[in-house]
Amino acid sequence: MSVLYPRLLGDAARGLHQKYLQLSVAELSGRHELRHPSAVFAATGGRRVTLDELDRLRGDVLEVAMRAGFPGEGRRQERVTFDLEIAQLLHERCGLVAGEAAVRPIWAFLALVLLPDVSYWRYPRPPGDRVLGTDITRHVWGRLWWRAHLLAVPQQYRRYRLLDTFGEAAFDQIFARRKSIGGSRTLVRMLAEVWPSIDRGGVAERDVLIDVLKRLSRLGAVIDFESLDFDQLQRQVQDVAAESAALLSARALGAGPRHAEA
Amino acid sequence: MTTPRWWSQPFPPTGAIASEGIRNQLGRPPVDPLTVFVRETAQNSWDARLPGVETAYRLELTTVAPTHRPTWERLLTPPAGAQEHLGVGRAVRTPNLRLLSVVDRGTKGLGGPTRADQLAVGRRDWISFVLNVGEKRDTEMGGGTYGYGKAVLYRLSRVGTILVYTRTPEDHSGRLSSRLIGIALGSSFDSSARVDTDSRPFTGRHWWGDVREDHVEPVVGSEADDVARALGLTPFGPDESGTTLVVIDPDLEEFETPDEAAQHLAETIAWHLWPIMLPERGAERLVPSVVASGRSFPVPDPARLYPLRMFVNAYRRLPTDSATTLESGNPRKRLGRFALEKAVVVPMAPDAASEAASYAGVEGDPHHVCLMRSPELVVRYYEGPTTSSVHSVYAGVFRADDELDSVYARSEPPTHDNWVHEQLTGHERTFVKVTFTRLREQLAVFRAPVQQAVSTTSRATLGAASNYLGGLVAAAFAGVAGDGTARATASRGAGSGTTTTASPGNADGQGSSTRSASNASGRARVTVLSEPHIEESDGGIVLVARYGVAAEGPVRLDARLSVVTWEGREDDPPAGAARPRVLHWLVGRTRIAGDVCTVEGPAEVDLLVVPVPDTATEMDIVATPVMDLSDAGAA
Repeated sequence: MSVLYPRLLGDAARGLHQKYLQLSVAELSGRHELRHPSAVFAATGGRRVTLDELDRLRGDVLEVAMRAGFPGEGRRQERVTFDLEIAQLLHERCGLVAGEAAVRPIWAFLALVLLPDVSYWRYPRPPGDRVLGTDITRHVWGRLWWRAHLLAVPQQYRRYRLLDTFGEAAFDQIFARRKSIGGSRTLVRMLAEVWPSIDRGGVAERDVLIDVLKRLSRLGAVIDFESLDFDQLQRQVQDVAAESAALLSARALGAGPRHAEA
Repeated sequence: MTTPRWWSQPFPPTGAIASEGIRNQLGRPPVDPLTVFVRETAQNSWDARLPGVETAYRLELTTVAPTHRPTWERLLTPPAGAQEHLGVGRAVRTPNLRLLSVVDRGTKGLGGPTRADQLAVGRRDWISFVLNVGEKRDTEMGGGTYGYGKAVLYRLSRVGTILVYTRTPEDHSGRLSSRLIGIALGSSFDSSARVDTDSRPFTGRHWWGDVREDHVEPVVGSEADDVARALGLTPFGPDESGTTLVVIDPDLEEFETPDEAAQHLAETIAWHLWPIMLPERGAERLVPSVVASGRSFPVPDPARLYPLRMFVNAYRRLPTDSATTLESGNPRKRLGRFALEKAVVVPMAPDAASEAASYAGVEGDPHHVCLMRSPELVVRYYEGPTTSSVHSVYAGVFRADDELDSVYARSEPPTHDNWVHEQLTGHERTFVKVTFTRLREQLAVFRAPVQQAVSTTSRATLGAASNYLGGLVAAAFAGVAGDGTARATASRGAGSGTTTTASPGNADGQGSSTRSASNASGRARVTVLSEPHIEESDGGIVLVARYGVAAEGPVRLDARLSVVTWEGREDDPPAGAARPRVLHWLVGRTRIAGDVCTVEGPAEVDLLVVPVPDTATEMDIVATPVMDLSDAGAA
């Protein structure tokens, strides 16, 4: 059964964000709460999360954050590790179903009420969508849950082994196409499965990925990827990725510093 | 020289099986006697194979040549007393008497003693095939258990008569020697109506050969070869052994011509004997052929014939990791190996399945499991659940474990085309029963509905769904689906529905399915007269749409082509990817190249587009009335 999380209403969220932008991480630590007067639950769809669970969730997130240098500045690589650990933690522990996780105000609650200090530490002086949840794919916590959701493999053992396949910028390309490619977990998972084996020939990961996504998008109009079995889909994605990598690296070699015509 | 004659078997004092009993031993009337015929005779030939040589199995549909007919009539006409009970007498007097022969070579022929009351130490093929009924066969890895299936030979003959011509090594010398005998199964009768003989009942079984006191011996050696030659039977080469079975006056039922029947036989062979035909078996294989009236009908290659090739693929997977071993839990026992082949296909037309396939039980696209045991002859095609999509099909093979071969064999009816657990008891019953349970479990995944597919467009109204899916099918054939989006555009323009009627009098532009230029200089209405569809042009695939231009005067038409992606219209193509391009416009009979064309309205214009394989294409045109005539020259 799904667990319901409090939804922080839009006006209250914006108000908190305006205030918190001015505060330091240490000050924010004192502001965290387990409930908020402007937070409501959905009427139905699961059981409500308990205060106890919220408290434990905060404790666990803090622990991971400390390892990544919280409340200090921390290094870039530590943030990457932090994101991966949190993605897995949230997806594994929250008991959210995709329908609930698509509700933006629950992410605003997590960012502004439960974890304001960690949120503003992860993204100092963040633009609104990082905490308000106006765009989940950019939200400090929401994007991580969805990344884990798209990449989690349907098995118990090493469920999140695909999580670190794509860098953040690369994965944003998938998020940007969330209605099509990002909407098919099978396809995203398969892409992650074959990605490490693709010889990119020195072309930047993101460029190859963008090109691969364009190709898949073309095919998506005539092929129903969900109906292919593992082998068929694997072959399909591998072919597409190999084609992109080959064309792009040939172009990079042939054109040199100039850029060839499309 | 012995002249072969007919001899009718009287009932012995201890009683005997009447011929009706033998003919009914198949249990039930076969769905297709020719299918049972192929299965039974091929199994006999296969069981008699010689090691190290390919087994030739040939079916011949012939007629008795005019030169041989007098011999047939002279030798095979029964004596007056049995005349009315032996239809063969009538048959040999008709011209163009039809014969269906099974010729096997590379086999050992029917050997052993020629009397059933002699104790056989070695082989007893002759006894069990020609004389006895229901005798247990103990060929290692043999296909059959009891020889009941041979009853189909008599049933197939309208006069219940077959000839058996065999060449086999003699028991003591090992020299090859020929044997020839005729066997007929009529109805039991008695001769009380006749005054010239003692009245006594007869079983209805008759033999034709070297008649002795109380039984019939075959004509043997060179005499057999002489008689066979006089009858025009296929002769043996100098070192050849094997058997020729001749069914006299076969009942080809619904097949009007021998050619049709031969075609059916060839396909039936492929459907039922493919496991022992595969080239990877080397010399241990059956090489079938079918000949009708001197013309050869090739047996289809099972590895190429759809849907049979899917079973072949699954069969070839049996030894690999992708196959699974099915087991029974209590008692614990390996039942056999199971492999599956899945495919996405364009569904077959409703009546495209051949009769051979239908009789084999696979009518149309496969969702079946081929059952076989150690001899690797097809037992049956077990029908599994149909998948939730007509495009998705599967074929499986289950091969019983060698250890349980005898159990499965005992569960088979005389025609060897099923496994019936009710025939068994105890653990054996469990094994056969559990086999089907396991198979159902393996196939249960196909019953589940497919996952919710991601919608690739939400622009098409529900009424457009069928048209939209039709486009997918076209895409599967030609690699393009040009109409999906254009139609969506159409439905948007028209407000509802998908068909846009081109009515020039429709003044408000509601019928317009193509974006009209809405610049201030004026509006030129363009309607879609025929939706974009796929045509062939000079060997290539093109998309063709016809537009009607309603405006008066010159109108400039701009083709806007793009690939439709999952994300909608594609703005930025992948590296090096092709884009659709205009082949030409067609105004009347004039071809105009280029993306732009100017026509004198009102007019009808065809736009021909070269699509990119494996993509969907969107075709739009923008129409602008040309105010200044000098613009027209630009096109």
